[in-house]
Amino acid sequence: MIRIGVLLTLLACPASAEVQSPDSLLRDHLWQQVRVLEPGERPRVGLVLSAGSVRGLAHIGVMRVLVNAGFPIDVVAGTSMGAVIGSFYVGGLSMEKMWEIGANMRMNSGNNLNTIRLISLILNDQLLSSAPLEKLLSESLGKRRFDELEKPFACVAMDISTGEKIIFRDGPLAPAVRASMNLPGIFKPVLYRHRYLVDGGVVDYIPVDAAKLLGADWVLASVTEGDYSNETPTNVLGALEQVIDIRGAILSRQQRREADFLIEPEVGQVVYYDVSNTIDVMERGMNAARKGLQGAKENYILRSLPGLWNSWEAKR
Amino acid sequence: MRRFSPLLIALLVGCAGLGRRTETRERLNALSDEAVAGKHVSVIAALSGNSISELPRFARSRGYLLLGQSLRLNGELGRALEVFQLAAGLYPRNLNLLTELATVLHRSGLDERALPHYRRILKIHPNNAVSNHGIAEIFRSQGNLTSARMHYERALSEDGWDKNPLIWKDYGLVLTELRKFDKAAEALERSVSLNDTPDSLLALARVERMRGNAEQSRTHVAAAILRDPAREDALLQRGLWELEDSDLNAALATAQLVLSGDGDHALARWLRASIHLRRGEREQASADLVVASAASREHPFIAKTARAMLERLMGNP
Repeated sequence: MIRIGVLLTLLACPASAEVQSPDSLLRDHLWQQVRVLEPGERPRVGLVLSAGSVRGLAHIGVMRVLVNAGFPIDVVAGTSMGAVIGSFYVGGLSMEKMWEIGANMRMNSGNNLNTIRLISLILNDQLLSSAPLEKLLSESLGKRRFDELEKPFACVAMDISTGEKIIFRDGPLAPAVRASMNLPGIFKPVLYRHRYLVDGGVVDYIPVDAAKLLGADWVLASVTEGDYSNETPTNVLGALEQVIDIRGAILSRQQRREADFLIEPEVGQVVYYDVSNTIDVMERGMNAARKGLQGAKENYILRSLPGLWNSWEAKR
Repeated sequence: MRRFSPLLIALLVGCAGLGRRTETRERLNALSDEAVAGKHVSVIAALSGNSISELPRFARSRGYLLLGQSLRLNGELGRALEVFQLAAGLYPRNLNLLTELATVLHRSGLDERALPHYRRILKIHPNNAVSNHGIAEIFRSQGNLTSARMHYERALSEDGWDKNPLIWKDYGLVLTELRKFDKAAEALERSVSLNDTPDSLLALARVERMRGNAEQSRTHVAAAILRDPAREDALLQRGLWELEDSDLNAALATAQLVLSGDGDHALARWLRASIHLRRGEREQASADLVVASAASREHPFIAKTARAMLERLMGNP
């Protein structure tokens, strides 16, 4: 019976011809040419990774698809979890290592959360410290500075005294990324460069401007916003997160328009602290990137036509 | 004699039961043979209605399996899914039924529902080739290429599966996407050696080109065209490569060949425009780009590209 089952399943494998469409043939043809253009001859690609706490792990899946496809990435900018993932990438961690870190993420990764501290947070208004995140980054990437990274990188935090957006693109990497991921209301503000800093998601959820500051001509943004439309928060932290999400979403409308291409993994329903299924979150990132990849290539090819044109004309 | 009569009756009933068992088994064997021979409609007819519930208990799961498989192979995925859902509920430990349920869910595009079934099967039977293949296809479609590769390799390591050219081809395509060109070429050569379809030949041609083996690439694309001269995509792929190699005469001949069948073919027009452009024949290039840019509904990307080129030609970049 098993033999017949296998035989019938084998028979069922699709045998129809996989004819490539004319659009797809031209896309592949031009993509090969775009990829070999010198960086100055094609638009500089900026990869932007939004804030989003655990939802932001979907960026790892997005990046895995982009890297597999040989998509050029010239500069990277990120906020909050986007800053953490971005720093791993520009710090030279392999996709496999990043995936492993994402898969093993726990509630207390990068912070000093434990039962006693949680009770202390609730009863004594004692905020947690995000210092372990800085330690984790230093251990994973070494005590690197921005100018020692493989690609230009920027991350965003907010000065809690002035509400200013602070874009870091020089100096030591770990404290800047820590400040970018420093959730207000949970972690103590970080004192760095004479400022008290908290999570940049409050002022720059999708840091397209930071990527442009680094010289990006064409921006692909991976956006992991929460879907707060059906959520009624039941605790203080949930309400705080939702307010940050709503404010981020309002601020990000303009940033969405400024990006040239958006990839939006379906992670809106993932609770910001739910680390029970991080692999699923990363797979959702891959799925969204897979669906958007051809569109992103086409958009980028069209923007690269001037560079291609020059190479065609040169062959005359 | 009277003392032995209950024993005799029991023996007779047992023989009758055994006879019925053998008869049922033979009937299902005959239906299996029909299914393998592709006579799905007759298998479906024989097992529809109350036929399965009238089968002896021991044979019912096999009856559901045969009916569902025949429905699936006959293209009736909706009905096949109903049968397998019912049967998997009745026989939750039957690996064949679970495998079929997962396969039908996958073929119906319900990958999120198929995946847990495949995973459950692999927990029980880690080398189950159907499940490894199904998961590989799902991961491939999701862009999870590293995991897809691993599952293709597991499926291909099973007896008999390494003789399937389609799986070797799909595995080769995943390796190509992962930019493991040498291993991809090996897999695609294996696929071609088992069955040299235009698809596998074209895939091999593309990999050889990426490996820098232009001559072998040309040979394979020529073989693909020879196998199916009506494959326009193979012709156009050849034309685009000829353009890349600056073999403008050959590229023009290829474009003309396609245009002789369809004078407004958008990609062939784009190809010919590009040749004109490289030869400095701007007016002819413009004329072809105008036609290509009109195909915005069928071929939006070609149309957009042609329009952008046209604007540059007209001095309005």
